[in-house]
Parts: sequence; C-alpha cells; structure tokens
Amino acid sequence: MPPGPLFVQRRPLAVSGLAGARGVPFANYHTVEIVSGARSSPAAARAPVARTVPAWLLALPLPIVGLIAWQLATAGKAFSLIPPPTTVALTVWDYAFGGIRNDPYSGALFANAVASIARVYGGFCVAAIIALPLGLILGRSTMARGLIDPTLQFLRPIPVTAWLPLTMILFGLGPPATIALIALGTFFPMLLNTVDGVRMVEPRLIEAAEMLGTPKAAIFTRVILPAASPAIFTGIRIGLGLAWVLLVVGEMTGVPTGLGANIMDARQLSRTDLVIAGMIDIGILGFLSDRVVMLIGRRALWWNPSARN
Amino acid sequence: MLATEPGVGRGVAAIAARHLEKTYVSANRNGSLTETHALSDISLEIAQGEFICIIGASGCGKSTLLRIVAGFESVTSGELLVMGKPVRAPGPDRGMVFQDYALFPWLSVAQNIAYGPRQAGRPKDEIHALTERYLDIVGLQKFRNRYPHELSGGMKQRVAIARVLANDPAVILMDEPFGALDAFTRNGLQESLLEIWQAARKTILFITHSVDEAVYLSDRVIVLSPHPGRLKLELPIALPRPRDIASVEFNHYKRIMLDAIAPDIAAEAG
Repeated sequence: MPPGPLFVQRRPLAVSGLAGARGVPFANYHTVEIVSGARSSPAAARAPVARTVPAWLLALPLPIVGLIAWQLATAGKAFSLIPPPTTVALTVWDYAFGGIRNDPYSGALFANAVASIARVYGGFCVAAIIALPLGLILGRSTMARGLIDPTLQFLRPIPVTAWLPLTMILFGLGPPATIALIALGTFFPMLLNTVDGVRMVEPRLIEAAEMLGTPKAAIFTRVILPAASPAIFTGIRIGLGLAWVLLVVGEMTGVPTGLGANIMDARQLSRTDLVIAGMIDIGILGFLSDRVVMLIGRRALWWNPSARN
Repeated sequence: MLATEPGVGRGVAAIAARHLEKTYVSANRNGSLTETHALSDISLEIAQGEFICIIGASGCGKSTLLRIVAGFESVTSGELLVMGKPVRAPGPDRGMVFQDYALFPWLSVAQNIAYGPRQAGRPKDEIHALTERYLDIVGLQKFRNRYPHELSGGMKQRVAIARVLANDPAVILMDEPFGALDAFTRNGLQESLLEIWQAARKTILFITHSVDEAVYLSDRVIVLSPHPGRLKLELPIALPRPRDIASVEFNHYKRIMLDAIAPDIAAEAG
C-alpha cells in the first residue's frame, strides 16, 4: 500500500536543541538532535528568486501582461465583440456601486451575490451532509462498498449539465433546482476523498491504538477520523471550489437573481462587459471562500506538514 | 501497577507458549489456495523481568511470533499465555514498539505519551504526573509540544517507548525498533533502553536482525530458523553488564549465533 497522505513529507533538516539534561537515560549519547524544519521550505531554498520576492509581487506580472494585451487587441475598434478592459473596469464598478450607467444592473452586485452565495453554500452543505458520513461508512465497510460503489461509479461520469433538464422537472424552476445541481456536482469529490482518506489510514496506527487500550468502539473517532481528516479536508476544499464553478450552470434553471443568472441575461442582451464583470466577481468570491477554508484547515490540521504550503 | 495483580504471583511466566502453530492461507490469482507454514511447534517460557532477543533469517516468523503475542494475529493451534492469561486480542498489558514508530501525528509528544493512561480513564492529575515522568525519562521535556513530523527518527522512537511505558505494561514487545536508525542513535537508544529496563524490570521481547544488538542487550537469545519458522537455538548470554562489545567473550557468543544462522542465510541467498 502507498503511504498515506500524512506521511508524504519527510523534510530535511534544521539543527536545533539539546536532547535533554544530564543523568537522563536518553540524553547520554547525542546531545544535538536533528529536527525537521517545519517552517523552512526546501522549495524556497532551491529557488532564491521565489524566496526574496514577496508572493503577491510574483503573482502580478502575468495578469498585467494579460490586461495590456487585451487592451491593445480591443481598444479603439469600432465593432469589437469583446470590450476593452477599461470598459469592463467601469462596468465592474457600476455593477458593484452604481452611479455610472444607471441601468437595471447598476449597484445590483450585492443582492445578486448574496443570492448566489446562499445557493453555493446551500448546495455544498447538502452534498457535504450526505457525502461525508457516506464516505466514512464506505471507507470502513467492504460490504457497503460492494453495495453502493458500482452505482456511484456509474453515476459519477455524468456531467452536471446533463442533469439540468431532469433537475428542473424534479425541483421546478428556481433556487431548489440550482442547489440540487450544485450539490450533485460537489458530492463526488467530497465522497471519494473521504473514502480514500479512511481507507488510507495506516493500519499501524490502528494497531498502536489497540495495544494502548483504546476501546474497539472508540477506534473510529479517536484514530480513523483524525488520521483521515487531511484527506476529508481536501475533499471539502475541492467541493467548495467546484460549487463556485457550477454556479452558472446551476443558475440556468430559470432563477431571476444571482451572478450566474445575471451573466446569462447579459449574454442575451449582448452586454459582454457585464458578462466579464460577473465572471470577475465569481472569481473573487470563489477565491475568498477558498482562502477562508484554507485558513480554517491550517489551524485545525496544523500537525499535518502537507497542510502548509 | 498491574504487574502483580491479585492471584498472579511473581512465579508466573510472563510469556508461556506451548506448541504454537501458525499457517497462513492466501488466495492465488487463479483462485487456488496456498498455505504458508509460518510457525511450527514454538514452545517458550519467558520469566518476568527477562530481556529476550529473537533473531533469525528473513522468513523465520519472528515478526509473526511477536504479532501473535501482541494479539494482532491469532494462532492456528497451540496455547499462549501472558502473565498466566490466554491472549485473545491486543491489550494495554502488552505494549508494542514498532519499527516505524506509529506515533499519532495529530497529537503532540506529551499527548502521545498521555494517550494510553487516558484510554484507561485515569484521573487527570495522574495522567499529568505519568506524562511528566516519562517525558523526563526519555529526555524529551523540551520537545513536549512538538508534533511527530518535527522530530528525528531517534526522538520519535523515544516517544514511542515512553508512550508504551506510561501504560505500565507487563510485557514490552519491540519489533526491530532501532532498525531504521543510524548507528550512533541506535547505540544511544540501546543504552537508554537497558537503563530503563534495569530500573523498571519489565519483561522485554525484542526482535532484531543484528547479532551484536542481540548479544549486547539480552539475557537470552532465541534463534529461529525459516520455512517453517521454528526454534533453532536458545542461548543464555552469561555476561555481566555493561557489556564490552570488543571482548573475547562477546565475540564467542556472536560466533555461536552466526554459526546457527549462517546456513539459513546461505539458503535464503541461494
């Protein structure tokens, strides 16, 4: 079996500390111990540029070059189908705060974003509530896997877009169908990561817990759950990211509000600037949502070296 | 604390094995079954407080034997008693130190050591006292709040030993515990283990593939022979401690053991 995700990183090395006081049995032979440096990144040691330049500065050139190229390709052309970034920037401002174009989308961002956030987290939560417990069961029970896994493997490759007509029949036009679509799409990555996380738990850890007197019924909560938590967390992160990806498809169900619905409307109206503004806002919200999850994960799983990057 | 339970006197053997047999049955790709005879007619008596090393060529079943004593595997036939009671499942009376440490990576050094007493439902102040005591004994007070991934191999193994000691087991089982460590760290840990053993007088069953380690550590060496795993030689080491690994007597014991193991290793290589 390949080593579990917990044990992937064996990092060298930063010298630190003394082993212990004199007269202590284990202190006799080696007073200097080598301790893996959790806070020193080997990648940074190999690439001096990445170490000296702050991360945000390193991230800037690519989007700047992209914006310049976009501006050069579109500005001043009378019949360009794609508006230049300056126009889009005005629309982004207007969509958020109003006061420039004074059309139905001026200052409409907040209400639509709230509607979309509710659907994204709604769908994500519905999926998590089913996927996580089911994943824990499937990861532990060969019987449950035999019963359920083949069906899941058959359903998994069906794209969320293909579910669109069926969900609209089942849930009607409106937010419930959107939530259902987002839930469908985020369900599988969370389920599969949880199953893998549970299955990859080092049998050694379970043996260690047994020989230390852990009651059989408590092995699951005291060993398997914490050992699988990094993989489960990865599943949650992927799931939430996907929820944002699925937002536009999800809001093709005829809901009147939401960032995805706005984008589809703007497309009908040939308002490409508004389409791009909506894309940018989804990108920002998805990014922020991922950061929050990452911060929570780093706090909760900080014992796990691969959780830090 | 549990070493002398009511009704279990000092006279009871720590480990008593009678005619142990272990046969694995595994399925082949074509559906047929293969039987592997891992252990054949193993009978042993290990007294309380004895330090026993088990050595033998690969395939001699030494790890299997240890895992059976630990309760991780069952015997096909035969009788196995630890402190007079039959072994049915793993339990805190038999502490295991694994070669790959098997520390809980989500617990700090101190929490790993406190894990066993916590499972036993001991009072908080007692758990605290035990943790402090074994942190001191293995010299890891300064690292008490570190997590396993921040420790070197030698330090991890010290935590693993402290974690088992804190549970006060009757028998400590060690499966090539120092096999993954460099020579200096290994020597240091051997020395420390002897000190702990002499202070606590625990029964230790220690698997090694190093003849030097076996002669250096144990009261008695048990040599197993492979295919099927069976007793080949029991060799009491009548040398005073601390032992001089360069002495004539030390080498005399090494010679006897090497002669016993050599044909098995030759067969394995051939």
